[in-house]
Amino acid sequence: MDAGLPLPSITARPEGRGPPILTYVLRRILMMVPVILGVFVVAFLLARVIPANPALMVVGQQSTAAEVHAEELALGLNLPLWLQMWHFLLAALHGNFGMSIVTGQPVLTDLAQRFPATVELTVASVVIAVAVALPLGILSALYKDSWIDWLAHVIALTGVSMPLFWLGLLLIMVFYSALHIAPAPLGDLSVLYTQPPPITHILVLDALLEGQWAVFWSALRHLILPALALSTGTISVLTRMLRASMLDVMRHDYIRTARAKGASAWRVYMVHTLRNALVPVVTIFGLQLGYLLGGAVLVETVFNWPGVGSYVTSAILASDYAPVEVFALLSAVLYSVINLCVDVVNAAIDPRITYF
Amino acid sequence: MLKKALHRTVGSLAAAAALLLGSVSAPAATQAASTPLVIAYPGSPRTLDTWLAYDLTSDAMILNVYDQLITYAQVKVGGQTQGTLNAYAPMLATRWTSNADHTVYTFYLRHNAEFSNGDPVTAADVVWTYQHGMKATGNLSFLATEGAIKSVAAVNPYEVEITLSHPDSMFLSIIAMYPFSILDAKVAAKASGTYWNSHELGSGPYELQSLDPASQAVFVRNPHYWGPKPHYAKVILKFITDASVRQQLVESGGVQVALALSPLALQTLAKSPVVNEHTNLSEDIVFFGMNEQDPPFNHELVRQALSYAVPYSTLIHQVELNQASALDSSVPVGMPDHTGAGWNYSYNLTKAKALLAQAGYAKGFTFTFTLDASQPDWVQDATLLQASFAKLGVTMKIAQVSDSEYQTLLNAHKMQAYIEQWDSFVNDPGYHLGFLLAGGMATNAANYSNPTVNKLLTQAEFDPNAAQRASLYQRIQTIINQQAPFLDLYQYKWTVVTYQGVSGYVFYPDQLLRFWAFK
Repeated sequence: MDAGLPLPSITARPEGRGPPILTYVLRRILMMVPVILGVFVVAFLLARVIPANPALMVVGQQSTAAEVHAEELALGLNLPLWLQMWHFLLAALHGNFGMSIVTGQPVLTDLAQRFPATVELTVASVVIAVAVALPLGILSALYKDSWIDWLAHVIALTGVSMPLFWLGLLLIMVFYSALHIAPAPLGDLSVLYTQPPPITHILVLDALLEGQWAVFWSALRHLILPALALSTGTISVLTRMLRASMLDVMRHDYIRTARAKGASAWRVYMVHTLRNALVPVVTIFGLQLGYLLGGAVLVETVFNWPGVGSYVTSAILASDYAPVEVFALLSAVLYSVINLCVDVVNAAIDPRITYF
Repeated sequence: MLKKALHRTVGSLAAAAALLLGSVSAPAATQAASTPLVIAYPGSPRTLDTWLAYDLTSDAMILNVYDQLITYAQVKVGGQTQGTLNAYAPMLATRWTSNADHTVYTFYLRHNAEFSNGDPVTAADVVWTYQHGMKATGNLSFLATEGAIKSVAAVNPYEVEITLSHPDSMFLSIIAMYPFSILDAKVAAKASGTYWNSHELGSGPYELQSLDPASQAVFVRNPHYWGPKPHYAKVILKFITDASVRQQLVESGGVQVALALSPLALQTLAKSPVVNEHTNLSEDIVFFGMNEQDPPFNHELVRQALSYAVPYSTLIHQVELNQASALDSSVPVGMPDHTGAGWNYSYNLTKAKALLAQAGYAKGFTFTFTLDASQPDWVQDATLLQASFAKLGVTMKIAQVSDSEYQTLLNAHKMQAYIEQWDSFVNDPGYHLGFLLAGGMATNAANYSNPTVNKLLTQAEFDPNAAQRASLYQRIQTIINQQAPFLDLYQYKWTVVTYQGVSGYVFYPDQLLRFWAFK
């Protein structure tokens, strides 16, 4: 019989297990700083590699050279690149992440307004991905080389091969344009309704909490297609990863021993096999969350979703540097934190994992 | 045991899928009482600052919220009502007069105009707008110079006097434009520099209720509007960058109006029984510019030779699918004083070769063409031109760049050859030619400069006699058409698609939608 090991103490040093979790977490946070700075520098420079002039985008083509120059001075574009970067970082340390040329608002305000919509989309896609990938991965491992394994393989290959942008357009064409069963890709709610009072700022939840059933259904209907589009890559990866991981675990002696000792099929596969098979899957899942954030940029643009992704797209098209830089910075932070959490969760799932 | 687990799992998946599909296809609950008008725009607004806006979306958002002193009138053309940029109708001013030499104009304001916050519109607001706009960077100051506006003063709370430095035929046309939208002086005086990027406060038929530049803008009727109540209480602009999605939306009724669809989409929609296409000739010209400071484009015969190597008909019928019209001058058809005199080009490779030989380039030459890759039809144009020029021994190397990079290169006059689209801010040949082809202008990326043309342009600008001005502009066009600084490719048509049941669309040459006209 297996007995779950207690979670390691965050301050104790269990024999042979390296430093306590707290020390490990603090060390990882310190290591994040150069990574995040590096990402920011690359994003900052990439935004300026294309010889576009944001000042020109502001004042327009039919403007004089003097007007363009005046706008350049106002935007600080005449300063050397390193000085522009330094000013940005200094201001960022004081909580000032710059203003958007397009909205005229602080970038943080814009992002805060839009972030819940992206969270809603991302969470929905994760739910769909897990709901589909988990049973599909398990079944394709248990029924290896059967028709269900083949079906899972086809689904996985299709999901990973299709570019998100194209897949989104295809879903619109099929479900909205041809079959008329999906709503128009015009955002997160029908134009006939107004948003409910913000409680969680997640539209579906707020409508549910307010008891506005018509709004809830409209929000849910608008959420399905973009969430489905965004989830396909994750479904593919998780399905294949879980299948491979389960097959690997099923080959171990302790699984054969459990079966020989008369444990039920459920206990053998769902408790012993799945639990151990989940370890690499959780790692991959963490990496996929970063992919979801990047994918949200494309999906939100296609579906006119009012999230951070579509905001960054319009900023890129308008050569609005500040939102692009802040988005890169925040993505790097988020990605690093997610990976740290994944590593800690892995250690909790698998007592054999040591960290350093 | 496992089989049972499999059946249970498959059953659960099937139930989940049914629930999913069911939630997607669930019929809509009872709808709100008044249906809004939803319009799909191709891009987000860059800014709502009336002095800085210059893109299609921003301009339309401003025009429907603000009033100007006067507006453009409507005329009947071929039985169809459309706007004209050369006749004017009252707006904030109910009437206006001028002195004998047209240097002092007096505008008499209506007494019942109010901003959407309830503040009355008075002469003080007009004076503040003009005076501050003329000092600030932006379109108002620039256009005020073009319109020769010297000073603006309030005679009394409902009378404004504008003095010009000299008579200017463009003056009335200019002040009807959206940069001359009248601001609430009390609010504008306190607002910070970037406030107007995302806020509006006008006295027009609509007010801006909410704006998310990445996805939509919502307008509601201005309760303080002095004019007739628009039919639609709410207008929603959706910013949909993908043209195929805009097409699908208007075809399915997801939006009631769609703009800037591709020629192929319009060809497809023309067969649809549920949409109507409203097509008019715009004043948007597309031309192939050649940098005259870059040999061999400094040679007139070379430019003329290439003019005979353009497959004009193919570009219009096969690339633009008849969503464009032939262009026979650097001034678009429809602009006052347009003439095709001096433009005798057709697709004639024999003539082209002869001219090249005469210029000393019998064996051809090589040049670099910079292409704005964001324009799919220009990509096709470039391919066809490259193939045609190759028959003359002329090698055109194509360098594709992004739109923002292209704009920077255009501004710097650093391209040897390029395709450009131009739609003049002001519907006047003096303005149009002055910007595109007057020597030394920042927007003259072809670096064309002809002393005779420059002199005639200046002469026409100050000539108060309309007939004489017309004669001068026609002389200028004849010279330019003969010298061929551009290859005049075509002139775009402008098509707005409306879903069945939506009527009232009125075309204006500035291509801006008037929301209040829709029914």
